[in-house]
Formats: sequence, C-alpha cells, structure tokens
Amino acid sequence: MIKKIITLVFILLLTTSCNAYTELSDLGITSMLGLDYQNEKFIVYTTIIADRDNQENKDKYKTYHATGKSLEEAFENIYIQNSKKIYLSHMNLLVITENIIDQQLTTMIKHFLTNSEYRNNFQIVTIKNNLEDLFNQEITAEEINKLILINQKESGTTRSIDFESFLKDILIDRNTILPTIKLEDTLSLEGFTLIKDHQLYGSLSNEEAILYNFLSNKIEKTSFQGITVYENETIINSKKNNIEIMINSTIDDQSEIYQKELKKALLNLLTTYQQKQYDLLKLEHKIYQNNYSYYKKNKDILSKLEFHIEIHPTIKNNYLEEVITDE
Amino acid sequence: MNKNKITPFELTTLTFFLFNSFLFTTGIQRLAKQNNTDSVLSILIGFLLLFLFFQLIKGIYQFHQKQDILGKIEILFPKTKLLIFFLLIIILFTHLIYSIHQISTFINYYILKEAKLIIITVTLLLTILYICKKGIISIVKLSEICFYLYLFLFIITILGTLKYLNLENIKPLLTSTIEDNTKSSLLYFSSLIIPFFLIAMLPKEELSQKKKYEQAITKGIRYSSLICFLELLITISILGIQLTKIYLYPEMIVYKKISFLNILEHLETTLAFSQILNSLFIIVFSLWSLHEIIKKVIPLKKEKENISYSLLILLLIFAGTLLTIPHRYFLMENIIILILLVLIRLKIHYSQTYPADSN
Repeated sequence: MIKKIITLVFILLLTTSCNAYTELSDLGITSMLGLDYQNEKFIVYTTIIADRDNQENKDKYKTYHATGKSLEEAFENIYIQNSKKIYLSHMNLLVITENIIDQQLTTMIKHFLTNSEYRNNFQIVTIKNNLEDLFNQEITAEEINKLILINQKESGTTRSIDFESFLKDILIDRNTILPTIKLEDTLSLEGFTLIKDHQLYGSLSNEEAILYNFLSNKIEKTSFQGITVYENETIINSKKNNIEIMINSTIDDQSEIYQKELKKALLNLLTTYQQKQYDLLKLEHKIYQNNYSYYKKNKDILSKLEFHIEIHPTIKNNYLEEVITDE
Repeated sequence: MNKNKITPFELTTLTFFLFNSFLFTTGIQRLAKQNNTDSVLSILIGFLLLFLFFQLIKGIYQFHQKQDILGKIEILFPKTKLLIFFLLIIILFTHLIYSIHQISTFINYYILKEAKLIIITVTLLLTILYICKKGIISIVKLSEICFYLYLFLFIITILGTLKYLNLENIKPLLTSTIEDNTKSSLLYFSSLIIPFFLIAMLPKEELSQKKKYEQAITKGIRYSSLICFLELLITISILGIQLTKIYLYPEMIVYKKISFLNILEHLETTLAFSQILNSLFIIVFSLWSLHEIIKKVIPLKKEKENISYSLLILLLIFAGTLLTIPHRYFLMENIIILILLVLIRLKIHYSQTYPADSN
C-alpha cells in the first residue's frame, strides 16, 4: 500500500506540472509581430495584450521592440524590457518590411518553421513604411486584419493570406504575393508585393490587384471601370500550353464594355508578367498537376503559354427599376 | 466467456495499434519525401506486401499453438536458442529506445514545451511499466478501450478537416519511377515487421476463438493500413506535398487547423493523443515481450519481476534520454526480424516435411 501511495505521489508530482510551468498571468500574449532587417540587424516589434487587472494603465496593448544579429537574439532582447514570456500561439498578424523580404526571407521562414509555438494561421502583410511608424501609432492587428477582410469583400483590391498559404506558394516555385499596407495620414492598402526567388520582385497596384483577384477567383464584390461586379466566378483550365480562363460575373450595367475592357486588361496583365518570366497564377504548377506528360516533355513552359479568356457577364436583376417602368 | 482469454476483436485492436505505429516510427513525412504524391499508392502496395508476408509466415502462428514464439524457437533451434534470444533482446531494447525517444521528443516539441525531456520520459515509462505489470490480458483489453477512443478522435479529425480538403493537391498521380514506388512501398512494409514478431508472442491458445486468430490479425492490419492511407491522403490534400515534406509531424499542422464553428479551437493537443496511442502500444508490448525474453534467458521468480522491470525501466530512461537511434537502424532491426521470421517458417516447413531429420 505504501509503495502504491509513493508511486502515485511521484507520478502526480511529475504530471501535475509542479515542474516547469508558466502562470497564465506571466504570459505576454502576442497579437501582432513586426519584423524588419536594417544595417545587418533584425528588428522585432511585438504588440502584447496588456494586463486587465492593472487599472492605472488603461492601454489594451503594449508594444516592445528590440534588435539583434539573429531573430532569436532580437527576441531575447525584448525580455530586457518585458517581464512576461512572449507567447506566440495566439498571434493574429505578422507585418514584414520590404527589407526583410529582400535580404532575409529564408531566415525568417526558417524561424517560423522551427518554432512550434506559432500556429500557421496568422495573417501576413508587407508594409511600405518603417515598422516604427505603424507600431508607434498603436494600430492593432485586428484593425489591419479587418481592413484587409473588408476590402477583400467589398472592393476586391486585396485578399488575406495566412502564413501557411504563403509558405505553400513559396515552396512550389519560390514565388508568392503578399498584401501590402501603407501608412500615411491613415492606414491604407497598396495592392500586393511580389516575391520571386525568395527576394523582393515588385508590386501590383490596387487596380492590378483587382485583376489578379479576378484571375485567382477571389473577387466577392468590386468595381471595374465604373461597372459594379456583384458576383464573380473564375475557372481556369489548362490543356497543354493553352490556358482557358472563363469568367462568369454578375454586373450592374454595360456588359459589352465590361467584356471587352476586362478581357483586354487581363490579357495585358498576363502577358506582361509572362514576358517578365513571373508566374503570377502558378500556371506551371497547374500544368504539372493536370498535364504531367506535357510538363515533363517541355521546358520553359511559362513563355509557351497561350491565354484564351472568355467573359460571360450577367446583368443583375433590378426589381425596383421594373416597378418604376411599370408605373 | 472466459475473462482470461483474448477475444478476436481485442486481438484486432492490438494488431491495429501495433501496425499503426508506422505513423510514429517512420511517419508520413518520410514516405512523402520518398515518393511525393504517389506515396498514397505506396501504402496500398505496402499493405499488399504485408498481407503476402503474413500469408507466408502464417505457419508460425499455427505451429505448436500452446507456445508463444519463444517456445517455438526453443523447439526449433535448441542449440542456438540463446543466441537468438540475445539478438532479440538487443533488437527489442534498441527498438524501445528509438520509440521512446520519438514519443518523448514529440511530446516535448508539441505539447509540453517547457518540460524537460527526462521528466516526460520518466512519466511515460512509469505509465508503461504499470500497464506491463498488469499482464498481457490487461494490455489487450486496454487496446480495445483505446481503439474506441482513437476512432472518436479520428472521426473528429475527419469532420474538422473536411472543409480544408483539396484533392487537387494529390495530383499528379502515377508519376514516380518504379524504383521510387518500390522504395517507398518497402519503407512502409519494412517499418512493420517487428509487429508481426510481437503478435507471435501471443500463443494461439490464449484466444477465446482460436479459429479466428489469423482473421483477427488480418483485420487489424487492414484497419491500420486504411487509417494510414486516410491520414496521408488528408495530410497531403490539405497541406500539399511541399508542406507535408518539410514538417516532421505534418499531422500536427493539420490538427492545428481544426476548429468547430470558431468556438472549439486549439484542439491539437487533444487530437495529438491519438498519435501517442499509436506509439504507446508498440512500446508497452515491446517492453512486455523484452521482459518475457529476459525471463527465458535468466529464470526469474514471480516476486523478482518487480526488480527486473524496474532495472529495465531505469536502463531505458538513461538510454532513451542519452541515445538517439537513427531511423536506418530501426529499419535494419525490422529486416533482421524479417530474416528471423522467414528462417523460423522455413524450419517449421522443414520439420513438418522431414519430421525424422529435424529430430
């Protein structure tokens, strides 16, 4: 009996976290993380949810920043100012600068892959400004995420990209895109940032971003040359080097102009990036998945691609107009 | 029904867990690295190989049904039995070190990040020791209970991942070379030889319905292969082959995505319990078998079993935390067991064809 009690107590001591534990109040739950790379040093900004019990300090969030020769060192340096353990599992947003994309993208990816605390569902955006501007204005992750989400639904100028999608895309052919934000008087969107071969490649303006979203079937509602698009569905099929793009849209008016102008704009975007050897829509990978024999026999598939675009607009029923006409 | 006998379903569940250990010992990532999207097919070919191998060695289970495999070795190889037992002790011991290290590092990396590895190993081994001490009947009965739990967790995983499934990620299929297909199928097959030996530690006589012994084992293999196939299919179709290849346990990344109605979130730690179950039974059964072999080499009184088990656990704690056995050694151990099982089968065949010569 004594032996059993001793064993039980021993197991309880080991399993009930009497060893190596962290109090919940000692966790600095990180909501937003910012990464930059300047003068061969990493700069890390974190927004941590502040203590609720501290009545004197009514700030909801606290911001810390530190630098280091490696990302790990920069994180360690944050502890000099902060008594809480940085807890990254609830992170909502990662903001990265063009500098870090251009110079240390692989190091950054490696950091996120090796740290199991991160969940891969946090959003990722690029910022045109310095991180200091953003974090000093106390703009929260929720605000930025909402800005992207609302625009994805209402204007079609952007779309949210989480870390996993970003990683998946970059692992396919080392190219990917990220939504871009800009801070002037207010926070605004600036299309997409393009990444090629793990480096900064260029950007898409808000207008080009709408076209890109058309092609990626990510348009929920948008406006194209004054024509409102209420619904859209894009289907891309590949037959050898023929890329057939079919767009079914519900618009408010001027279907002929919409058909003609949208086709022209989309073809222009596709051929421009085809000439630049940038596979905007990962079409080579699509051919690899759907037509492997053609993919294996041919080299430099991107430049051989021929685009065929069909646009089928449908005018949205306007019941009110009918009522007025009847009267 | 005799409570001290094993039912066919209990044997099926134990076989299921032993063969499901593939998800832990070798894992989806290694298979995906070897054969990309075609690794889905490798499991099917690997299952056929397992099935054929079972048909080949079925004779071992039917020979001297009251004896476990150790008794059969004593009958078949009276002169070299000690050598074989020593070999088996080394193999099972290293296999245990490999499995314990894998599960402890998994728990340390994904669940108990702050805890020291040795604390996890000690706690785990104490649980395993407790199960082992209860004897084989309790181990088998526990496997049945855990089987229902495993199914429940698996159904939750499937329901939670349905919305993320994208079968485009499985494409292209049938693109790998015959060499890659063979290698990956053999990888699946050769990771699962030790379970065949471990099952043979249960004499056919222990089963309540002896006739259903082989049928119960094949059912277990079938269920396990199905689960492995579905796990791989779900993982690749959600993460894509590129992401599946870079994570050591891609299943955990899939678990992290699961949420129900945005209310039930962060379920990965709970779902990871199914991964722990996958490795728990192979460790428990290997330890129990190792102890049985040691008992054959050094006859022990029933009262001394506590000491022998404790010594074994102490050795495993030290070895498990200090040593890291590479995966290729794990495969080598399986191949040695494969050779041994084939030799036993040949010897049985020879002794049955030429009874006078074998004597």
